[in-house]
Amino acid sequence: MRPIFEQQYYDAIRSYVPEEAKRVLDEQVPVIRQKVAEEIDAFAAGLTGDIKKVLDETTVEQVKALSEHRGSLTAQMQILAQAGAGNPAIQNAVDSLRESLDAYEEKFKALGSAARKTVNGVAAAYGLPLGFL
Amino acid sequence: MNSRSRLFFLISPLLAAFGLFANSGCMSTETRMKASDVAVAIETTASARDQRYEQALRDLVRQTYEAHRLKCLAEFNTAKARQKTVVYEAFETEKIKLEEKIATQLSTKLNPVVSRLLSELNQERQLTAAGHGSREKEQSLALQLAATMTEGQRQAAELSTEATVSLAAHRERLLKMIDATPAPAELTTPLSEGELTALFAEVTTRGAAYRSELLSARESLQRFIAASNPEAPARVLLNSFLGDALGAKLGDALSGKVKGLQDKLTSGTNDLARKGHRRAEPIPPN
Repeated sequence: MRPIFEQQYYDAIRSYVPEEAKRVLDEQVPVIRQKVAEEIDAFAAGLTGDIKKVLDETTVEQVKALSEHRGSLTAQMQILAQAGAGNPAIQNAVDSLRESLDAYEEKFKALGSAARKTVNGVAAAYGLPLGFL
Repeated sequence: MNSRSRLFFLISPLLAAFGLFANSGCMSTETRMKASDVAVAIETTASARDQRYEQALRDLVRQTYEAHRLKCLAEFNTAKARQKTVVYEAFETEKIKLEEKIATQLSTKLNPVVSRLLSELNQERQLTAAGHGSREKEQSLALQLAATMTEGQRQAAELSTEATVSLAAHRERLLKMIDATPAPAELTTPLSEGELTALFAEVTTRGAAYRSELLSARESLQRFIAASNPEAPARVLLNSFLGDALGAKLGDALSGKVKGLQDKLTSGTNDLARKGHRRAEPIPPN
């Protein structure tokens, strides 16, 4: 509870303070005030530094955590990419089938070419007009 | 049985067999088409499934990253809020400490005066009680003592108030500094499409290679299915004998003829199936 008549009380009684006490107060109050102000400034500066340090550390920590998460995702994607790659067995099987089909067609192509050469030879020998061959 | 009926009787098994062959030829064509459809269906289904999974995975990765980013951002903001609490607590503690310090320092400095006044007051009281002292002086000393203590108290209170105001100003500045501390861009920026694409680069590349392999496998199977057509070797042979254009033309013409023949034989066979068991009916001339 706030004292009643506070200011009037102080004003009324001030004149009864002995000179010695007044001198002590006049000398010491500014000194204490200065010390307190310096202490407050030092305290605030120290706390500001501490807070900045904590916030900086938190920033680094959280950015690092997110970066690590991204790194982990990248690693998982690489594993997934390896797993999702085609099986070489497919390509081998396809190549093998293609070679077989090529060989199969080649056989008939060779037969056709041989027949063409033979017919052309005969046509040339007998002067037959087989120009389309 | 006339000669025509006899002739039909003799050749009907042959016609039936040929009709069956023609039918089996039709069946083979249909089967080849179905086999080709199967090859296409396998490839398109696998490719579409692969692409859907990749898209779902992209969404999942984006969501996971977003959840983690927001968690990190929340951690950062929580740290800021925690530091504000630290500030309030630290300033409150500092205020109490300074109030005690002010009171102690001021009372220490005033103590010699207060002690002297108290001593003189006690002495005067004793004298007054013994009938030698002055009641007026005693009251004057008591008033001086009370005034000194009160003034000291007032000055200490004023110093404490000044300290509180100064501390509050520093506290507000510090709180504003905390509020103004920005979250790092990494925590506030969602994963961009480019970053997501980069994250998926290898998956996409390998996925595309896999789908290309599937397509290649499908094409090879279709080629095999086409090559299994009995006409295919003849076409290749004709093409290499007559040249591609003429060979293809002749091949198509032969195919048409063969198809026409097969259709007629099929029709004849079907008629035979309907009426042939009576054997007496001659087959209609083609």
